[in-house]
Amino acid sequence: MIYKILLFPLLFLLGLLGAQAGTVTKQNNPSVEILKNTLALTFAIDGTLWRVLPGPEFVYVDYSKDLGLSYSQPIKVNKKAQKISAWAENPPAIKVSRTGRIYILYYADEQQKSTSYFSYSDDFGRSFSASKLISDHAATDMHYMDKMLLDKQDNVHFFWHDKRDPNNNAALGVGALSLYHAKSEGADKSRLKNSLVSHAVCSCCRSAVSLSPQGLPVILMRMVFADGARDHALLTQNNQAEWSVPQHISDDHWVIDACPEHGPALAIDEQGRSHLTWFSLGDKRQGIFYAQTDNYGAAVSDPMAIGQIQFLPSHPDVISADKRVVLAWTEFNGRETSLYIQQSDDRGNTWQVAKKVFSTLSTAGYPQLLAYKERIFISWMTQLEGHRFIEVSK
Amino acid sequence: MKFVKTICLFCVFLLSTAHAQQLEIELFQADAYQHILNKHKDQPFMLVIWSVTCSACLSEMALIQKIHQQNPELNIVMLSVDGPEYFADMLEIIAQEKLADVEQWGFSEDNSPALRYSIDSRWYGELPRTYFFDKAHQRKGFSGVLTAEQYKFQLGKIIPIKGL
Repeated sequence: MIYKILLFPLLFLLGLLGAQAGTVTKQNNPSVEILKNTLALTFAIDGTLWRVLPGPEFVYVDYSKDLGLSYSQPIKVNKKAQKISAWAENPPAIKVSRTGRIYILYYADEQQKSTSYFSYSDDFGRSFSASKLISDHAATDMHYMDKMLLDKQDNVHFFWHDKRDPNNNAALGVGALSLYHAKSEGADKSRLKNSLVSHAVCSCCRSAVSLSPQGLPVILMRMVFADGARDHALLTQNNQAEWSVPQHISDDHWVIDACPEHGPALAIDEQGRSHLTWFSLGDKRQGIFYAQTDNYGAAVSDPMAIGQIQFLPSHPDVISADKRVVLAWTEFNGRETSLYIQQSDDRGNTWQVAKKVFSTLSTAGYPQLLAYKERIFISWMTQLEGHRFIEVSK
Repeated sequence: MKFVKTICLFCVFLLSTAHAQQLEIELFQADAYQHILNKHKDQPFMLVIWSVTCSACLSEMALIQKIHQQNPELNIVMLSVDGPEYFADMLEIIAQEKLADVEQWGFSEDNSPALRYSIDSRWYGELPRTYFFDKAHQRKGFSGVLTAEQYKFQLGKIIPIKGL
């Protein structure tokens, strides 16, 4: 513990001495302490790989021009120190618009624990705007597990779990909250008007969001149904910004009043097929699963079990690029946590054999899949080995 | 004992008008589960696993406090899967929920799969997780919030329940 406390400031100081802000170092491990292995990444349209790095008091951003071989010196996002909050199910996020604006989503303990903030940079990460609250009930109602999405008009959307409607969720038990949405408005696209998407979202499982080919948001979330089952549902938004009735996409029937801390993942390909992956310990099936739907949940393929059930397959992610679909997840064999991938070349109709990519003896974050054009990459941070980022070969 | 030597005790003194009370969180390391079993040898006990970020767990605290108050002979062990960086938050919750005199443990590494595995190789980490151990340490584990009736039923199998 003492070792860690001394090491990180030392590494950071050495980094500052060795390079001016914005210059590139030849190491891919962040020179700042990362909370709970929760860094997040995104590609800009020019292929620059951007990372957001949550530390204990500041959130940092750096970038790589060589697909993760080396990164720039980290730049602070929040100007004043805050008690930054992040855990695997509640990580920060980064997105870069087509015009080059860098959006950051992060959390800090303020009047409410894990209050969500956003900030942006219009000068390629040299400076960031003052951090703004996302929820208009931030002072009084806990809200967290935000997802950030950029649409085709470069509007930024946030979706989050919010405690502001206790009466609407009381009958479903303690772990049911409301899902809220805000879309950027105003000349500088930084004003956020909050609106309700749905009640009955499972409080402890992050939701997944993606854009349809028409450019409209689609949400996959674990819901708490009237019978107490915590199963998954898809919601879509129409052109009038109205949300569909949640489409129940799995009949796992996991009846539990608990925090699974195990949210789903969603990718939508250019032909509008939604690729879904999720975790359940339901009556009907247990483990992690993949399924697909061409009509946002009206009809869904039979769930395909992923991974080796005896090694607790967990925390799946999914991505699509052209006809490729890649799944990633972790397994634990009692000693090592391993990262696995499995891929399809035909939009999820047939699948190659699963492959082990990395292993660690330490704690690890969740895997994150990224696509740049037709190339697919995987990011994984572990306590012992640091940040690993590689291309998933075909 | 080596284990005891390596335990770090995170303590605060809760000053009340009546008395000062010491609140300790013991570090749950690889051998801690066996240590807990040895410590409660030939005794029934209840193991409550929770986290500061688990809203379902926090909702159960008042009921656990009631069980503790009405059945003081029942050994209750509380274990948070949060690492030492969360111990200050844990202490605040434990004090607030009046559970300071219950045996308290916290993971030595935050939400470590290895530490979870040392307790139960089939547990994915969903919370709360509650185990009821009889005198012979035959255990029954449950995920999720339990009702007062469910607690009463399960506890009734391991101790004579006085009230709930």
